[in-house]
Amino acid sequence: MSEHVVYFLREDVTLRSIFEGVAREGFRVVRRAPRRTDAPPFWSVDMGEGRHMLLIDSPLFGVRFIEWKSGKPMPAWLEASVVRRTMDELAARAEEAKAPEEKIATLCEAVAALSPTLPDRIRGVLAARLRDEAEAVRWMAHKAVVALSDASLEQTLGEMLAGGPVPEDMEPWARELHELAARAVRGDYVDDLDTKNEDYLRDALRRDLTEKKWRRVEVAAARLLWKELPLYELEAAAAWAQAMAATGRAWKAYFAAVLVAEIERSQGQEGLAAVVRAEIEPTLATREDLPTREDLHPILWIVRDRLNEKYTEACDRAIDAMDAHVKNLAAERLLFRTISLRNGPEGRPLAKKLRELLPGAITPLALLAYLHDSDDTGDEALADAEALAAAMAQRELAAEGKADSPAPEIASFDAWAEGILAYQARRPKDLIREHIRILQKRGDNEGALRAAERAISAKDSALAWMDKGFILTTMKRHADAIAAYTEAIARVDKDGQVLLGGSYDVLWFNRACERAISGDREAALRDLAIAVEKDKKWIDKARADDYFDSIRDDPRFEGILAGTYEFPPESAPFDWKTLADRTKGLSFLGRYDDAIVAGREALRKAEKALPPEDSGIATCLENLGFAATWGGDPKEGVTALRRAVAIRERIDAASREAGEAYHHLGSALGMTGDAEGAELHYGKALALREKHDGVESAMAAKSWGDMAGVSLGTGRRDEGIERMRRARSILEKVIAGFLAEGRAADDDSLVEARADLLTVCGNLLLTHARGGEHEPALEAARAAVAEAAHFGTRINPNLRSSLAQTLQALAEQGVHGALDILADLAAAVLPKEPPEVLASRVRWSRIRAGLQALREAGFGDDVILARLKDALRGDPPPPAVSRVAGATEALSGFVQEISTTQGTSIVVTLMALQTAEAGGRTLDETLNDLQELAVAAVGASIESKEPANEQSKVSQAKSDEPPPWERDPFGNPYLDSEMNRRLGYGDEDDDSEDDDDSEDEDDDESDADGYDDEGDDEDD
Amino acid sequence: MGLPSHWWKERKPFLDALFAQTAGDSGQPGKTGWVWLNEHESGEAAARIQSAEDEDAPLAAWIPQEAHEDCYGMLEGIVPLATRGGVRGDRWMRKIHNPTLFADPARPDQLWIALHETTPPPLWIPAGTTADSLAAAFAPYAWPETEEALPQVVGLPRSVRIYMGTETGMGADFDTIVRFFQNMPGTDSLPWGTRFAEDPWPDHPTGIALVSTGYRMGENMAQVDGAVPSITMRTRRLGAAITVSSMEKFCVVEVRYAPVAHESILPLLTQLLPDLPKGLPSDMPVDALAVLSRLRGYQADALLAFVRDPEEAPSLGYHAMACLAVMGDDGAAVRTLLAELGGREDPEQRRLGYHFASLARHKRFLHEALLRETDESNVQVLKNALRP
Repeated sequence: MSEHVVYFLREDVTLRSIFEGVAREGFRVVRRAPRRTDAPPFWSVDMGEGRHMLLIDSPLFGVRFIEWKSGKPMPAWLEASVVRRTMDELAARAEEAKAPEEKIATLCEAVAALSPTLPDRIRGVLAARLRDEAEAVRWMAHKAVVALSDASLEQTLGEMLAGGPVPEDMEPWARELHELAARAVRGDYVDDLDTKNEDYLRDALRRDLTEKKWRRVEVAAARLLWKELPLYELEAAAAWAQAMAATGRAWKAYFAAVLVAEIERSQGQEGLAAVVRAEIEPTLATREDLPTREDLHPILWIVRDRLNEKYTEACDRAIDAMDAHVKNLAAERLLFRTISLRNGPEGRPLAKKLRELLPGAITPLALLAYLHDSDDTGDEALADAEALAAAMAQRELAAEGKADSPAPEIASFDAWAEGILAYQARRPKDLIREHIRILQKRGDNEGALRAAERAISAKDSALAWMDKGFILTTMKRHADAIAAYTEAIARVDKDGQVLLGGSYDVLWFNRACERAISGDREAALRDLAIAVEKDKKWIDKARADDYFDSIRDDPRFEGILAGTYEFPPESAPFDWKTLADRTKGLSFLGRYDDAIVAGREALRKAEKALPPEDSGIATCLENLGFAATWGGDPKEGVTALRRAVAIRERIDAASREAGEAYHHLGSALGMTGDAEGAELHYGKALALREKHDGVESAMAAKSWGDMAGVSLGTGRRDEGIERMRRARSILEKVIAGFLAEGRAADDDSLVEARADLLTVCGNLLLTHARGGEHEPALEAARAAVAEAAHFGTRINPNLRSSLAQTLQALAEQGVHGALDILADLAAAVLPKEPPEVLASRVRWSRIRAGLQALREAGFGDDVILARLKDALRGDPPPPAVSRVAGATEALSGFVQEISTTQGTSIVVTLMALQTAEAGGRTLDETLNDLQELAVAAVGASIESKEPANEQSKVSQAKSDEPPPWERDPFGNPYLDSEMNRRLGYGDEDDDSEDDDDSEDEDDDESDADGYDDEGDDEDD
Repeated sequence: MGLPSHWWKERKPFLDALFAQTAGDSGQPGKTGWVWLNEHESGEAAARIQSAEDEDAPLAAWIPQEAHEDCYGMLEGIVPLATRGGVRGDRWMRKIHNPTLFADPARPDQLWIALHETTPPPLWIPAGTTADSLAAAFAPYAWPETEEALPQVVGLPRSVRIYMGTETGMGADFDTIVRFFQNMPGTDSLPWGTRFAEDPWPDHPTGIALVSTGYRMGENMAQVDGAVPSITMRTRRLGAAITVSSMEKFCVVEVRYAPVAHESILPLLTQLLPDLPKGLPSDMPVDALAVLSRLRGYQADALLAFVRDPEEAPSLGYHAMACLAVMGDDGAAVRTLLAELGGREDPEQRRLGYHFASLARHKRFLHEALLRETDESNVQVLKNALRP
């Protein structure tokens, strides 16, 4: 045997020079591993005549070396580039090293060249270095162990731990790793096989098979088989069979060989199974031990769904083989055969036979229940389902110690079969509601209800209560159903949320239905909100369900479904006062519909809680009346407010509160067209306001403003203008007073006064504009815009559009200055979009216009969709399309937008287009979605960039800049410093960030370095 | 009986001989596979190529803006002589191309091959004057027609690595950068990821293999855990491998190729494109050059010079990271860089070196540095990183 020699490349030799030499010799580099961070790159060089040279470059050990596996001498150029070392030399150098640097260097050379299985001497050196006094040396040795094989690792760490005192920083991991290595050597370490990576499993299988680590082979093979990858199936099954045979489980091996044969047959191959069986079959005849239940597992793989659908014959063969060899295990064989024949008429008799064989077992009962069609409501189906339910209930009681436990062999059979049933049929516990379902289908609701109650007494679960609720719903026993659902909901958290692949959300939905139909509007809406929040599928169901007809008119109903209405948390007190306040608040926000709902509820609660003449009821009536008046139903407003005024008058007709009630009633009457009544009540209100708040108070101004409306409405224009001017002047004084007091900008009184002033000015504008008095109109407009600016985008939208329309009308009449004021108004109250977003919208509208042109040219949406997809793939449009003006630009613009906007992706886009093609959505809807996605992404990217740098904006602004690939990578000085910062190499003049930087660096250091041992697998 | 003479009036004498030797019947390929155009067809082709000289020209797909004017100039008066008889697709039939033989009155001493009729003249392959020289010039690019096996990627002997910039600096994520390469006219449409060391696609997909290509795209572009994200694609006519990788967002393109001698092309390109990456080898095939001519960037030597230049010190981190990315598998080169940084006087610069050693997993360097390091905070950083 030739001596092991390693050739290390000299430090000054470049890889390029080696490859040039290789090319000169006519050698061929035939293999180069893909670049990975966790493995050393290596090259295999074909030197012809079947000879190869391996060049390995290990970053971990900092060495490059050649394995020269040729009898021939090296070419001179290569010989001059390398240092030759024998194994003995490596060991001697490592042993003799004194200085820490030397120790590191020699250790690295030796371990790099001779791993994964170290010769004894070098292993000894490594063990010693692991205990070295210099940290750097022993820590390097610690890194080096990752290159070792399991056996070498076990030996090395064993030697290290036994060889004398172990430094404190080395001992814990060394002991742990030693234990793992020992398990790995024994072959019973399988934790790493718990992975989703099929390639890893396959590699482990192949490696462990050669090393005869049967436990690992068995686990890896079973996991691979479980993944049902046709590519690996055969290999895994064969390895499984081998592992069984090698560990003396001949019966299991035999059936595994049957599995191999069937997989081969399904793949049109043959041979492997014969080899496996040839080894095993002769031993079977002479075997004295009987197969156990476990030995039948491989049959399951054949009988399982995937093979069974197509390969009934495979099932038959497998079960015949089982029956031929297995003389015991009658119940197990019957179970297999029943499952294999479950789709035919033979299944039921077999299941009955199994029931006779195993009285008291759940499995045959579950099979019998399962073997009925889902629409079979016959007596036998019911009897089978009831038998199963009764047996399961009995088991439930037994588990609680309230009944006798089944015989151990029966229980063990059921436990074993449950896994099979779960995979091949349905689990018994998924079938225990079958009889209830059948009874309901038969129309026997009473029977179903009794069954459900029996189920509850057997197991008090959310599921059982839910069934009861369903039945009661069917029976239209609404109150009982609500109670049942409530019980079920109370148990949901205990039982978990998962229900046969569905969820318990239906409980809330159904209770919402029941509560709606029972007239409990609040609770129904609350339940509906919960259901919708849990799953959006309930939205459509709620829209379609006639149970909700009674609450469909409630604006909150649509609000919940549209996601715009959110229930306040349930813990908030819902007494009349809270609701009354809420009504007022909502009215103030302009959300009158919501306010009306809250107002009615507040009144209902107040009437229950308070005596009939209580001022609280008047308050609720006023709030509701106000909301209804302004929310578009002044008649309801008048009714409520008349009641309020009556109550107020009875309490104290001269009170401030009475004044407010008069005023509100005045508004409501004005809205209904009763000018006289309005004038009367406004007048009463004004008198009381002036009495309580002063002649020049904000409240008085409100009265003047509203009374102006009455004047204008009845044709008394001059009086109206006069009243408005009065209101305006009072409000201006009031606001000035507030400001002088130093009130905050969001002070309620100030805001309200401003809102009133804005309204008054708006009305003045409108009145003057209609009268053709342009100067005063513009003057009022300017004042209105000045006030509007205080509200910004929160301005009442009706007022905003009224102002805008009036100004626009003036501008269209050519009134000088109107347009400017309109622009000021827009700037003050319209939401602002960043220019990038506006630009993106403009680009999209161009795209849409181009596609519209295609449509107008007679192309169908399907054609347009297909062209969009082509464009994404980079295909040019066909001539017929490109002839349409704007179409090519639209298509390329589309691709440009999709590919350059972060947040959109070609894949998502293609999927969206495919969905549209399949008829899922229309072209317009799809484009809308994509556009909004892209625009939102643009917006988001701007937001995220907002605090960043000016420089990037500058560079974006330059349009003549070349595309990124044609730019000099070092052309951006900002980038340099940015990258330096990211790399932890801070700008020196940036003192303030020094602290942060150093912290970052520490983080980076530990992150980027990540001395994770599994990542450093140098063993390739 | 005399030889048939070619129709082009300004031809040099060699053209008649070449024409007589290599022309087949009208519209049919002759010896060496070229289909000679008649005067009318040639005129049409020339008009087509030259009329594309407005902003619709596909020139931008081939070569950066700065060379366009020269290219337009060079296209004046060109005479298309022959094609390969119809257009051809890449392996996924996504990008068609049409190799064309040209005569160029400005360079009349020999004929020129364009791998596609719109390939700009600086990237034309000199084809000599005889049937043999024509066949030899085209031979390396003939595999799409011969249906021969593609060269194994792992066996391609030469490589060039160019640093392109960071994803941030280029304003594009890795996928966008890969897409840019996929959209180049000179590349094949079938890319693959680090999961495969060798091209996983069929050499000449047809039928089901061609149809199912889209379905396999995700699988074939998969990355191995822990690998530097890389996507490789071939050049279309030679099968050279273009690998785009992004190490910590520093993007590098690597071209692996079998050498082809075209002495005149690179000097002309360098003259037209002053920003072409420096130091490109003269034996690069023209389709690989066509890819690189779209880029600006640096090879490792240039980057190492930046690292060593004291004036560039403020950008040391950036340059060194770029250097590390472009050095890739070349451990000796990486160690040179690490030694350079590890030998600095400034402790912060040394620490930068440690950071890169960690990134490149050069553990031994770090352990040796721990023995030498004197700066207390650096010692602490090293210990934190190295402690078991």
